[in-house]
Amino acid sequence: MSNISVLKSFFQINITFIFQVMLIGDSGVGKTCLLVRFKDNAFLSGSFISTVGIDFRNKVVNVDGTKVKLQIWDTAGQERFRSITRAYYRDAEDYHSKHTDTCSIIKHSLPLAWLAEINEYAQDNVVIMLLGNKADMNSDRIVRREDGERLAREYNVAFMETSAKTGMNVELAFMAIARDLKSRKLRKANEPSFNVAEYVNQEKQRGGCCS
Amino acid sequence: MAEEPVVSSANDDEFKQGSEPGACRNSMLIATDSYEDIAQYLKADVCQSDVPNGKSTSVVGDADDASETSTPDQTVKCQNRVDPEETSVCSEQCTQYDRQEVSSDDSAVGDNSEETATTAVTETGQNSPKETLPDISCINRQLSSLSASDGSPHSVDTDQVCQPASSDVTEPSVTAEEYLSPELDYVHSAQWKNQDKHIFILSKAGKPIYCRYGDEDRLVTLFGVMQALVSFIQSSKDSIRYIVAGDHKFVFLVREHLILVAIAQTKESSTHLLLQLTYIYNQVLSILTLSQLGRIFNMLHNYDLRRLLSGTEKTFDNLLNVMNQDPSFFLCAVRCLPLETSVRDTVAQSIAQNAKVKDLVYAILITNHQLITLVRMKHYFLHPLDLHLIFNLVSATESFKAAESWTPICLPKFDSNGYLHAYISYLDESCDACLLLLTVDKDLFFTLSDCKRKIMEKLTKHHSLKAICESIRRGNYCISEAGIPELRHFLYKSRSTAQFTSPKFEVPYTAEEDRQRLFRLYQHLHYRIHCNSRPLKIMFTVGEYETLLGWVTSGFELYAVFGPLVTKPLAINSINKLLKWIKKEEDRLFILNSPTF
Amino acid sequence: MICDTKLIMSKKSDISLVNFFVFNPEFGPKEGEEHKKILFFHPPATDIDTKIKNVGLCEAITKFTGTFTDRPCQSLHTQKLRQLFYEPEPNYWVVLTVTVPYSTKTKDGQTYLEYHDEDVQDSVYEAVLHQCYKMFKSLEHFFSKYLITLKLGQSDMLDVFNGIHFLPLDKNMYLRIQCFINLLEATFPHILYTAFLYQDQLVWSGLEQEDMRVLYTYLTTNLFPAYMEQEFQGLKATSSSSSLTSLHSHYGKYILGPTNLADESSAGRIPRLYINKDQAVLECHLLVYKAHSASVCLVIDGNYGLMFDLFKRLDKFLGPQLSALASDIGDYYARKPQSSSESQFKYVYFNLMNLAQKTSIHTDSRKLAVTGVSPDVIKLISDLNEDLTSCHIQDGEMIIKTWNDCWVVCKKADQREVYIILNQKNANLIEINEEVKKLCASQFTNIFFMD
Repeated sequence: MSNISVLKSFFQINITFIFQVMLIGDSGVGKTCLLVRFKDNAFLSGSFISTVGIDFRNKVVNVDGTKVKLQIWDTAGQERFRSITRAYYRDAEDYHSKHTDTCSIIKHSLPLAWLAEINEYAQDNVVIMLLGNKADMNSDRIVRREDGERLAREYNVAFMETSAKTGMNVELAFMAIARDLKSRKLRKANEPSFNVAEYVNQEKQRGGCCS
Repeated sequence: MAEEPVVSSANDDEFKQGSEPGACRNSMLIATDSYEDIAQYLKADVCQSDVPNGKSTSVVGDADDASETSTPDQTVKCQNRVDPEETSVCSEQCTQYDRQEVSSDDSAVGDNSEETATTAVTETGQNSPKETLPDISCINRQLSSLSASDGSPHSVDTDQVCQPASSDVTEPSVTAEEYLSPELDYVHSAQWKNQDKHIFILSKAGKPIYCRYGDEDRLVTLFGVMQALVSFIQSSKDSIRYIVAGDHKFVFLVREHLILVAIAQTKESSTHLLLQLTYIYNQVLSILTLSQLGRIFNMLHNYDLRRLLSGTEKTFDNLLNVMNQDPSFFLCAVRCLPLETSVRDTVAQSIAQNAKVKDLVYAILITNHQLITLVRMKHYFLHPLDLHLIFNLVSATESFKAAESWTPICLPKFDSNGYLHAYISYLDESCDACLLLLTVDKDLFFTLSDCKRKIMEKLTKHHSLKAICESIRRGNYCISEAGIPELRHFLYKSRSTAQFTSPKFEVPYTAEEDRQRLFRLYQHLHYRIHCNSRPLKIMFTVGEYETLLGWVTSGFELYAVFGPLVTKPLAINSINKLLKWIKKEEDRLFILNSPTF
Repeated sequence: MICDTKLIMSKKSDISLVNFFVFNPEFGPKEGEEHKKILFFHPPATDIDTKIKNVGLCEAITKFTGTFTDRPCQSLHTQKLRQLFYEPEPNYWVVLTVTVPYSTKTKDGQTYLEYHDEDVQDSVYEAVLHQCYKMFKSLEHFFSKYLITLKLGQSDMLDVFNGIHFLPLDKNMYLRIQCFINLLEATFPHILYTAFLYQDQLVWSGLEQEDMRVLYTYLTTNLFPAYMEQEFQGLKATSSSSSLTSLHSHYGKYILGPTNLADESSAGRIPRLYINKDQAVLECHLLVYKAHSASVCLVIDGNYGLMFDLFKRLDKFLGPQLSALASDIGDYYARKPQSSSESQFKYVYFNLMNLAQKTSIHTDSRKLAVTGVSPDVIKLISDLNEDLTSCHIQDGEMIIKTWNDCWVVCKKADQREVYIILNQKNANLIEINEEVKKLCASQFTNIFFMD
């Protein structure tokens, strides 16, 4: 598969990075909505439109003056696409792995299987972030915040709750990923690695965590 | 073209294949040889008990036999034929399922009463279902319960409800009455029963998979009865076709691993209903492939296929709705977007030049169930049956509009055992034209995305995109363009290219009911003309509201509608004028040439 | 891409009777009692398990369709069989099963059987089923024989019409016959109904339409042919004796009745005929008396005991008069000019109001000779008739050209239908239309006004 094309020059000020981001999770958790919120700042209300196969969208963000282009793979959550999407784990650099707080159909509401799979199949240097979407639906929660956090600790990944509907933490999540990816690309051996959790807390404390 | 009144001359060879309006030398769709071939295809049945060698068509992995590629060279192979990874994934899914099965009451009442739904699956072993003959009196008792007038299943024995095998029951076991009463509600609902056309899909084991109206979970007994009828008749080495009661027809299609049933009071012929069921079956194949179906059901007879079909209800619903309005299905032909030849050629060239990628089989540009252009790999034809499924996928999937998509798709006529991978992207926000690039290589996304970009550049440069959008915006042509006042509407199909054309509906067919009525008239005319043992050349029917003419030659098929009082000479004259007009417009209405890669 | 199938076409198998049975699902609802549901089953030699299975399946099918519609279940199509259903009274089901013809085909080196579903038309065999049922109800003693002799392969739309051939007579002749019948019924008050036939056409009948249809079917498909057969083979040993007793004064004799008026024992079993009157079913005796080509059917009150003396008195009354009438009708027809245009085209005409049917395709009711018209065209006519019926078309017209270049024109107006077959290969639609207009004007005057 054709890979990242990076234009890098120490003498240029404008550097563009291109990274792949993959959204995976069960059907109905809100992957597409999250993406649409991030990309178009809109919320897809109305009837549930299921993604077929994988949808690709691009968004360019600005990380400290650097342009970072995120090529986002929005995967279909249905069982029949599992083997297809799995085939792409190896190639994508980052995964947003998500679970839902309000899905009433699926019994296993924590993406144990997903995380286990990513661990197994993905390359070592992927960035994984666990998002708990639909945080706005407090009364219909299935998964508690603590459970999400615990799971994230177990797999040593960052965690945050988001809401595509209200926009809560959406931009934050993607920006955190973008920064992490950029830092990994640029980081030299002796530099400290980017700490997503720290960054997230920083941003939250700054207030206006909702984009 | 001859001047004399046509519809007559002994010399129908005048319209030999190849000389009729809309004919072309290089057909780019497989023209179905005849409706008889389709009829044969429809009747193709799994229980070929008469075939001496008993060659079963449901053998999995026997890919070469099951596939129907008509290609001379087998260089293009679909993926996932015998993919070891696939197999292990599948078995893993199956064992996961079994664990779930044991812990919840998932029993199907409709199964053979001797066969419990939760036969435990050993880690290594396969599930070998006991093929016991369904007890006909058991079926009758179930049916009695369905039609019990006071709503209480008084004649139901509790032993009919299969108890879960395991004792790990998390839900309390359900009594017969409680279990059946939701179904009674359904089957007693006049509104539900009165739907024009019910469609059901069930597995060979009687497990519900899809129903057009209502919730299939609440129709378990009905599904069980349907399965039992099929199986009972199969036990006497026969196979059920259909039942007639008043205006209702109950049509059964038994294919590999699945049973499909249509219950319709639309007065359509059984052949047309069978055609629709075949499309539904092909739609299932398109999502899952035949080989995967085989693997799954051979491993687990009772598998709940809905798990793999979740999210596709809209695709099936859409297909059923379209089949009720679009004649392309029974005509076995494809409609093209009217476009000037120069524009179409430019578009085709832009695609051909910029999508020349190894392993790219088809490049298709479509809009709203019409073909704009098709560029294909040499020797590979696209069958109308497959193209209709592609149309349906695109029109049923909203999400394609917002992003570039990449999805596996199986084309049953091309190769029912493997997937092609489709890059799907609308050209532009401004118009509804959708580009599909189909390849056998699953890693080609970015390459194809790049192709699209280059194609777009070309199209914009030559203003082709604008022309396409303009044509889409204009919509279908009016019959008045042909200048034949007596003619109300027509369907014209060129047999050599399997393409057809028809004008938009106008007075008196603007209202929905009138369009439906006309559609059914066309269907019936088509059915009579193509009857297997007594096909007709000409059928001219004078009715109360209109006069219909159906005319079939070796080159084309024409179905025309006039007012009820039209005289025969006037009708004949109109037909002649129409044929001339279509010939004049053929470059615009049909795709007569298309490049190959 | 013509494959070998077209070249290697073997003969088609016949449509044959598999079974005929009557059942009521209300009898024997409990497990183990299923056999009680079966009221009649042919062939009788079938083992009980098979019978139960057959009935069970029908029950299931009818119940299944019953969950979706109140209309009765009509037919079951399987690959190899066709099963027709009829529910004359609630819960009382009559079923006929026939085979679907097949032929052996070879394709790509493989032999397989192709079943010709369209050769068995529902409307035709439903009609056959209805006829069977009526026969079953009316002439029970005779029914099994009727089933065995049914020539299913020849069933066609005439069965659908199930009409009666009427013999047109001039007023004079007609009045004479009427007087004769009136006198007969007055002289013998126990005669409830009479029917008068000449050859196998009906002249006059006092019976209700439905009953007459059954009787007519029985007479024309069984009794008369069997009798003619016997006559032809000279097997009637008693013919000489009857002529002795009648002293050569007339040529009448009983076909259903005593064969020898001198011998009381020759009366044999007089068959029972069940007819419908005012919603009740009357059991009657049936006698048939024939002189030359004329026959009289006597439906006699079943409560009345038949004394041999009655047979003699009837013979004395009927013999001379019937012989004379028969002779005069014969003369009348000898004088009548033959219409010459009969054979130029083929047609079938049917009037729903009086059940009159006219056909030049079938030369006789037994359809022994179906001349000049291919069986596919005959089936096509049934198809068209089915279309007209199912679409409730009152007035309509259809013009069809088959791939064999045969034209069929169908016209319907009021309750009359006519199907005309023209083998004019090179004609065009307009020419055919003109031809048909002329034919209708000459043959079917005052019926069709349309273009």
